[in-house]
Amino acid sequence: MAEIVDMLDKIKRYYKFTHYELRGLIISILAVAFIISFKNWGTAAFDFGEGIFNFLNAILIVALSILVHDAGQRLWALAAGYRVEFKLWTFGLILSLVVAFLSNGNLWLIITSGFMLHHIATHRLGWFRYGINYFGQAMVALAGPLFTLMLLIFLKILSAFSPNPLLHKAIIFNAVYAITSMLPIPPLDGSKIYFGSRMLYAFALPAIVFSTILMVVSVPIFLSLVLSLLAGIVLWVVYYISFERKVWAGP
Amino acid sequence: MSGVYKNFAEFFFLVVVLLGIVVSLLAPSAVISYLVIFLSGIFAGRLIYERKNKIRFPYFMIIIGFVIGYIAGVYYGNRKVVMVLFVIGAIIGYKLFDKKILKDTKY
Repeated sequence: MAEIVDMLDKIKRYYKFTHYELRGLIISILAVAFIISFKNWGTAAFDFGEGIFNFLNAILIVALSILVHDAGQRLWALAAGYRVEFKLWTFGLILSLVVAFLSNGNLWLIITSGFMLHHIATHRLGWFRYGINYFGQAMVALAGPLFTLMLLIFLKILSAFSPNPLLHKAIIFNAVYAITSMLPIPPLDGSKIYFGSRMLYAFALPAIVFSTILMVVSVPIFLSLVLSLLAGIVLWVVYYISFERKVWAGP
Repeated sequence: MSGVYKNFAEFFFLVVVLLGIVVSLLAPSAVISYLVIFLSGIFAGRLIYERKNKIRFPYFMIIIGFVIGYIAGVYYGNRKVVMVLFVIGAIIGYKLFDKKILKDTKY
């Protein structure tokens, strides 16, 4: 019970967004919404009304997805005595827009943000490895794609009851978002996992990529989770035997 | 490898010239071409701001390489407009970072 009260108190104190975070979040949401609605501004000719409608729908999808992704990392970080700061990645944002323009909106590159981890001194008391460490950061980063995956599962269940184009788009977007955030390019989540623990990355990347792809191609949720877990374990073992076992010499 | 490290500006100059040509050839229309070069200008502005009070010349060379490549590959649109939009984008990008309206993640 004490842990729950402590967690609720941490959420109350540290969950809120700063002014810069909010600005970054809004820019990021608008840019990504523009990217995913880029080819929906009219079928034969440009249609402003249809475009705005699709853009607003895209804002809803993107805002929900990014906030859930961020919530996962924030909650995980708070539980471990850290505070997450959302950071806009301008280069990634510009690159995403350029790719969307060049591919006519067919290629979504969702690489607009990363996060910075802050140490909350009093809440880290008693923890082994008191300061910020790479592995802790990797675990916080992994919570983002995992929450995105959970949202994807939730959306899949909803779409089974009432399938509609908005839900379908949200599912596709979350799949792409989970995969692109796992790319090992700083400041994306994948880079933090990779530098925190190569073995964790070797497991998490295939597991998340497989599960999202299987869910998008309409494999049942439970089966896709089991298959992705198996794929993750197999590739984790293969990576260990072929590379890590030879290079890891110990501390 | 050490040769590449010593002459990174020349190496990346060539790389971005090719990149510029490819990107401009991929643009399906003049509007997209202008948008892409404007966004590239914003990014160039960020790079110039990032190098404030540091050695800038190699980075200017790399940026100019991209512009040369892009202008060489422009199929749709006017080359002068492309140049002007790039400069405007670079000024806007620099000012946005200079006035702290945009802040970037540092790693």
